Amino acid sequence: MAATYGDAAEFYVVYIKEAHAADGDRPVPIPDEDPIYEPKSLVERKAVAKKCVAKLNLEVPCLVDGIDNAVGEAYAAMPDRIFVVDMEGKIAVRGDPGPRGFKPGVDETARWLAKRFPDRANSASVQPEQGEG
Amino acid sequence: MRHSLSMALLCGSGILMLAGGRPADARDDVSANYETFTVDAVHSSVLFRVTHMGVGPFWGRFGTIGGTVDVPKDGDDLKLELEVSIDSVDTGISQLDEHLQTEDFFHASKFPSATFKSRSARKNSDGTYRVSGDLTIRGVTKAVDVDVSLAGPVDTRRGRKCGIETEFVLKRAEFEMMYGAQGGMVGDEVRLIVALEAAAGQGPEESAGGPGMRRGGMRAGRGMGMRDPKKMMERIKSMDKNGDGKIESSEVPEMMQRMFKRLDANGDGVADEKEIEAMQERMRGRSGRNDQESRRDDAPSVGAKAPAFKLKLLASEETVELASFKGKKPVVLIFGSYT
Repeated sequence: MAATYGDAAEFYVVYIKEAHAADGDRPVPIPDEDPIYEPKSLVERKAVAKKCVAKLNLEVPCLVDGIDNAVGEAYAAMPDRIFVVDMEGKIAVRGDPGPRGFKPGVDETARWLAKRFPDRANSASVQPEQGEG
Repeated sequence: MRHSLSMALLCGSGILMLAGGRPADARDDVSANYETFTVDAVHSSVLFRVTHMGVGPFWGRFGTIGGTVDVPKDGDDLKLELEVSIDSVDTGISQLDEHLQTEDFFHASKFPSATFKSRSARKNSDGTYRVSGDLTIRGVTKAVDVDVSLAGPVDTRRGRKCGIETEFVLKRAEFEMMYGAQGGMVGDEVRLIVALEAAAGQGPEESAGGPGMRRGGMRAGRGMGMRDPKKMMERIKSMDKNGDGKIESSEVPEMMQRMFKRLDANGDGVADEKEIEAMQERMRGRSGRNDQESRRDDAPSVGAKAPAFKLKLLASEETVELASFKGKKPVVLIFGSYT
């Protein structure tokens, strides 16, 4: 999606509070990784975000939420979720929170982008229904 | 413990029957020979003092302590089981409070509390109790002996209460907390004053804080006691000084700024009714009902103004402001984390 609409829309990953920190209520370890504890400072969070970006090969630029988790909370973003903000600064797409809600949110985003930028959609190698990030 | 047990055996079942009036306590080893008091966090503190830069006496405090005090009915076997929440530290300097949570000091993400569990006690000639027990800080346990003053128990207008005070010194290095000690920036020795008030049995709402009760969920709110939703809402409502249903950031004292920022979802410096409502919903959701049905979604709705933000890019330290794209491009935001 970012590749197809990259010049029409801004794409950002916003790195927020850990969904399954090792010291949280529902720790879920990542295979081949040391336990990830909830970062207590912005510096610590950036380090974890860097690992994530590298491991998942994220090409979309990554923003890092402050350690007060203000932005993640403002968007009720936990554990993960997608939003589209339109040109008027209003919410255009509000994906449901993951894990169940994430992919449908991505699909909805793809459809929204396809409607707004149909010329790009038609030249895309990926069709909206598949909704790849 | 052995002393009171043998007393009971000597006197036969008579003593046990007399003492049997108290409601049953959850813990098996505490028989009717002890009166159990629960620490009242609101009226308790742990104060600490370190030497700063080799000369300055620096004091700070922990505001959230939970636990129990068992006062023996006969004998000297005072028992204490205490838990201090590291995120309740309050030095009056928010950056310092945050620094103390990190690995440099308490590593609170891994070790959210410090605990003390007594093993034995005897009485000193001056009436204080010499209590031996295990002190655990930053995951390291050391045996300590402290002199504890017990006030009461007495019957008060608000029930039966007692007070506990103790003062002792520890060395940070023994708990693997070395930061600043070399070069004398922050002294290795820490003077501690533990000052507790405890209420009989299951105390008033604010004193519900036995060991282990703080686990899971409410880690947020450094020092502002966000573990009790009702208290939090009261505190929030009290921030609205002119009673207009909105809270301006100027109405909020320094200490509460962090909580205010959480309230003010769109970052416009004012927490309006909607934002306060949203916080209330979040608090309600946290107070125990974990089922899907009652979990409300606080996210901004379609058509609503997207909460403003200014965040730094991971790769370059540049700041990106959401508002900068208004009128130019739509923005797709993918929120998530590694775990």
